[in-house]
Amino acid sequence: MQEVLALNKQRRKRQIMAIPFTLGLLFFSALLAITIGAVSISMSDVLSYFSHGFSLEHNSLSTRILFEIRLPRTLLSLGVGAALGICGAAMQALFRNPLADPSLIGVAGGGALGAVTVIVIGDSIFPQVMDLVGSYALPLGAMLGCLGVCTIIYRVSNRQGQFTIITLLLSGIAVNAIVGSFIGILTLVSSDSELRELTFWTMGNLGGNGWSLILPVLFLISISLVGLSRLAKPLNLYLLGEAQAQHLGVSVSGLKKQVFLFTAIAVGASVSISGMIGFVGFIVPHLVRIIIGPDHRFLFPVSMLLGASFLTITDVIARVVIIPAELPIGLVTSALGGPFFLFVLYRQASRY
Amino acid sequence: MSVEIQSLSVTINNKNLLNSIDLTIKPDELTVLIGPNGAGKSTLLKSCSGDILPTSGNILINKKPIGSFTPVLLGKTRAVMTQSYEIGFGFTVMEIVSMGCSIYEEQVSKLKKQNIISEVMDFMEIGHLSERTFITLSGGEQQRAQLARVLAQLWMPYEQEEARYLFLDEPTSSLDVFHQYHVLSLAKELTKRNIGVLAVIHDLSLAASFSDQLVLINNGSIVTKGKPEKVLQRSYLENVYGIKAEYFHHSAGVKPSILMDLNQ
Repeated sequence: MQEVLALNKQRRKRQIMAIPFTLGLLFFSALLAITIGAVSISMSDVLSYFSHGFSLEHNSLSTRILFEIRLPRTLLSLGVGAALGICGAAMQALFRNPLADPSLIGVAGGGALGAVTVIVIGDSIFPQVMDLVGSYALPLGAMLGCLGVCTIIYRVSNRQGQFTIITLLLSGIAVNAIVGSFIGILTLVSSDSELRELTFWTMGNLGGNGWSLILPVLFLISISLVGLSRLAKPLNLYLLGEAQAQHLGVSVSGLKKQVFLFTAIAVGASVSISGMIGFVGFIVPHLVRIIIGPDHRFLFPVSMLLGASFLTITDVIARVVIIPAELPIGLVTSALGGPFFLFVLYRQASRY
Repeated sequence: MSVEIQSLSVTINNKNLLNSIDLTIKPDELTVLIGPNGAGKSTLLKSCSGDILPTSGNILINKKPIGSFTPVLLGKTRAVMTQSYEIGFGFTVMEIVSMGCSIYEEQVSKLKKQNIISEVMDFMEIGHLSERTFITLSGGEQQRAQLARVLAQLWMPYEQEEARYLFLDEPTSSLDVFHQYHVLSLAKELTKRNIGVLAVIHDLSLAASFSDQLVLINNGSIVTKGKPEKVLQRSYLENVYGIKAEYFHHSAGVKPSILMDLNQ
């Protein structure tokens, strides 16, 4: 028995070490994001603002930058990164394939379509509904779009209770094409101010959002982070196979629906505010799995923390690389993630 | 206490896979299903596991209809070893086996769980493979690792009043001779702990050596069932399998076997 314990020590050690390590990385990246920018704020200033900040009037330029621009943006990038990281891991488990990613299989696209629909024709078609839900309209529209796409994918790629990755990726291509054309049509009929807003979604951008939009999004993201984390153990069993998981006492159809629902909520909320940020949900869980293995009890929290740090650091890069202008963050993640995806695909293909 | 299969029929896509099967699986017996390819053995096993719902007829586990079990309760009552398994990601053997404990994980201490895992791994002689990634194992080693996981599911509580069941679909198909006998001896041992075993086995001599009840299936119906010497008669073998062969038991000191005629 001692032998058995010793043999698994290495992976166990990494699993236990990974959480404090990524937590440290998270604080470090948040610090970077708060201090670095067109106007740099020193560490000691940040500390003094925080210790007095909530009692003082925020009049000076740097306190306003800190509390109204940097802080909300940092929290948003942490939340969206965490959501994309864990949702990628959950989708990959559901399809038992490391190539699944919310943006690749069209879930994020569905969210974008929902959001764009709300911006362009929401006010003219459902004025009462828009008044009723207020600032939640955008996240709600995006979530409905995500749920719609999830339902379509579920129906199309579910063959006798087994998901096939080929139909999944191909249906993702089709869904993305359909979504693209609808967004194009909506772009044509949009007014100038709506068009400006639309640009956020197509390229991905974390900036320019106030607290009133960020708080509901963070709230929705936290709901689904908690929901997905609870599914870690059954998802491990699910990786043995659907029948095998059922034999071990897992209600497989319930599990699948929950994963789809929480993913749709988190991705929808993220997409509604930050637009299409591709490949984070693919790169992050993949790297984590290489280091600590596929056990979701560790994969989920570590992907969440690493995703948050990754997106925050990427956002810092996007902000500073062409000062005073900004690079859309979606372009940065795709530029990094695309080659990595090809590399993984190449490695998978050479195995057969 | 038993699994009662009452006039069970299963039709999938207009194909009759099973026709009015009547069978009782007792907790103190090793029941072995034999029959040619496509006879309906796996379908019967899947019906008992709860994977396939009966088109007509009933399956009662410990006097309760199988449909009334929740997934968790079913997981506590029976364990299943399927014919094929695909593990998507790089789980180690140790991680796979420990998943067998999931159903009672909360009720036992960490140390107890570790003990159970190393016991079943020792039993299947895969202790030395525990840190290997499952997909890098050979076919036989994979089968032993899966068997260890399935055993772990029934390892706790060691004995219990309520009868439990183990369903094995060709558990020995990739195993060497030693492990074939080892696995079936273990299955036989489990029947002494109030665990009824239903296994699909292709090797007739192996089936004859270990089964308490042998069930011969062809075209979705039971041809005959009972003691091995009664089931493995020349006429049944010829009609069902199309082979000319003889059941042969030399003496009490050796296992019985099936001897094929020289001229088929």
